[in-house]
Amino acid sequence: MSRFQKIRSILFALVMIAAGLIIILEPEDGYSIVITILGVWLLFYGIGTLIYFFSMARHMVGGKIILYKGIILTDFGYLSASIVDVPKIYVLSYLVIIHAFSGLVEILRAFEQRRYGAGMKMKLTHGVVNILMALACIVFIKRPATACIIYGIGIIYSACMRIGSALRKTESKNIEELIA
Amino acid sequence: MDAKSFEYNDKLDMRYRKISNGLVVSGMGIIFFGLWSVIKVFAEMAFGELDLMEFLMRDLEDTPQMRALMYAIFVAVILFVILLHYYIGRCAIQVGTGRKKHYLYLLLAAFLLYLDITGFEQYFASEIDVYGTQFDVTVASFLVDVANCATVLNLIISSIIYYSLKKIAGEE
Amino acid sequence: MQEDFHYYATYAAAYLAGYSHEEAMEICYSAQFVDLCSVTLLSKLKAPKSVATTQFQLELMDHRTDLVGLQDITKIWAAFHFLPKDLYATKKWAGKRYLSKYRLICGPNGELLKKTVELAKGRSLQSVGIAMHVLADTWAHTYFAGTPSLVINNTNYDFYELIPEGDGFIKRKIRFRHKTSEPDDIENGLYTGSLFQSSENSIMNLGHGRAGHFPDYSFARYRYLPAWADYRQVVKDNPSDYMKAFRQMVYAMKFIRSDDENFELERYDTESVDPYEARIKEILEKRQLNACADWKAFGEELSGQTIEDFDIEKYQQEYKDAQKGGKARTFLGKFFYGALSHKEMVSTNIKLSGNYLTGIPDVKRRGKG
Repeated sequence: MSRFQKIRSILFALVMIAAGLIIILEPEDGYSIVITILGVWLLFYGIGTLIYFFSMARHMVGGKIILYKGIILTDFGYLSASIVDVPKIYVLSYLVIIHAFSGLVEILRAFEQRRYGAGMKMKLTHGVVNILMALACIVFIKRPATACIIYGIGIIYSACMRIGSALRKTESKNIEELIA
Repeated sequence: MDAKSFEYNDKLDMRYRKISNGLVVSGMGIIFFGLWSVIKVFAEMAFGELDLMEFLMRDLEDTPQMRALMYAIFVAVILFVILLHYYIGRCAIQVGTGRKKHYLYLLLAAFLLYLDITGFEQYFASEIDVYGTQFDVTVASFLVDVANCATVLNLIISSIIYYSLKKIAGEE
Repeated sequence: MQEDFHYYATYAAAYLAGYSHEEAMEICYSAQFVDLCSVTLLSKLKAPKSVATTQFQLELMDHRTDLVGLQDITKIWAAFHFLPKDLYATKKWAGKRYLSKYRLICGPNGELLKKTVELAKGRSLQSVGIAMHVLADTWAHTYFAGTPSLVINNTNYDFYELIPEGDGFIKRKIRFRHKTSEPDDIENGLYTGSLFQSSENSIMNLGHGRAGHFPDYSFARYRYLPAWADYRQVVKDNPSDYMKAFRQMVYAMKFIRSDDENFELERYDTESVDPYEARIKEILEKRQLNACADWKAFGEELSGQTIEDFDIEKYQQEYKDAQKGGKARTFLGKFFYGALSHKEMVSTNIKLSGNYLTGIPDVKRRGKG
């Protein structure tokens, strides 16, 4: 990572930690924020897909499928962004799927690294934490504001990983130093 | 014989490929739009935007038998929408990939187009509140319906051109 | 291309170009090592990660695909496996974003290939091996780009294999499935390919992933619709292309050994290869997933020596045991230097063409390795 990327990464991580703390300390308000963010994100994703079609995919064989995807996503995005009162069960399901999948990929990656003789502890830990978060969402599914607390913890954890990644030692830029 | 002789790139070949691929993509699009229209109804119900019973039972006598009947009609309509879109889409895909010949789907596509166009009436039936919270959602729905119509129209036109090109190539 | 060509065929080509058995072994080892030098391996060796020449599937799976992530991926794949043919290609109505990917489409006999071979001149045998890997891959990976891109690398149902029958060919539709645990089924035309992902920068859309391993088989002749070709079909004749690749490698290595200063594109060795043409053609046309045994037998007949099987750990201990100032003189040290120089050259040229996909090269080259 360049110095600029590291600074940018750390600043973003600090914002994520602040957001995570707000969500944990004020679950009800935090929940509205989470839903709004998800809805707006979906809307921008849909519009982004439409822009992608007009700038890139229209040159592609069969590219119209991207146009259809963009239209449907934009419609879904508008629908989601305009709704605040999403039942928590849907948000929890989304969190379970995201964390479980992410955890599984990390664990597989850790085992592949071990096959090549490299270290696997960090990746394995990261994977296990994600799986535990997915399980926590399922276990505490009936507790109010659980979604927010787990989401907040998830954000803070990701922020810490981001800071750790940014602070990792950079390699020297000089060829001789690189292979000396 | 050289393998390169299997490249067919004159104008007619390329147009034919473009149209057949267009058929396949339109077919997929129609299936997606059909599924989306059904999913959207369920999403609106799940998010509390639509009360199914209130919608189905308005102007009707609220009895258990009537409820059961309206539920059954609702399920039948949902299945009909899905199957209609699926059949049209699947036929278009099969024709576009050269696997089969179909003609009935064109009639059904024309019928679907008619339903879609008549459905636009709902957007102009009452005054639209431009400053209302649901205005942008309405606009998005309108655009989706326009895209749906365009897809069906594209499918019909592509099919006609496809069969014409096949006739020119002497395969009919 | 696979180990059969990158290792054994490169050995044969190096020997025909006039290298000794030992030199040819170093060259072919380096050529094959390009497909294995990943960040995971480099971590194990405590070597700098910026010398990686490949990325494995699971490394790619959780790789970021923001601009910086894309640049990291493109720097490796465009440099070592999908050398762009024409960095100044144009297309009607295409915007800058589309063109930046379109211009990375791989093909043989591009200007970058000339620079690749000329860069290896006067350098270590490891650099020669790297150049031969890159050269060979320009033939196998033609029409695909070394950057994740749906609009360039996608394939669809219109994908046919041309199987020789009598004096002509029969056309058979290829089916791609996403089952990496099962081997490709040549008999039934069933091959493993990546899943369709409609996201432009998805890793599934990197290189020839959508066509799986199929373009790397020397026997493959196929016809398909590239996503970028405006509904034009292309026919890829691998036996013919691989023969050209082999001839070009022999010419390239003769050039590297000679005093000539200009590497000529579209030039293929005939003098040294012609006597073995029928034999090589037989190997290339044979329908098999792995031609290592055949190429090995051919190489050993040429030199009269035994070609060791490729061993990824062969030079690792030497590198690990070397003292701080001595790593550059080890086999792997020379390989890393060559890889970095090549990567810098390709990245610089891509950037100079106005393409942002490899970012700004970040290594200053000092002298030759």
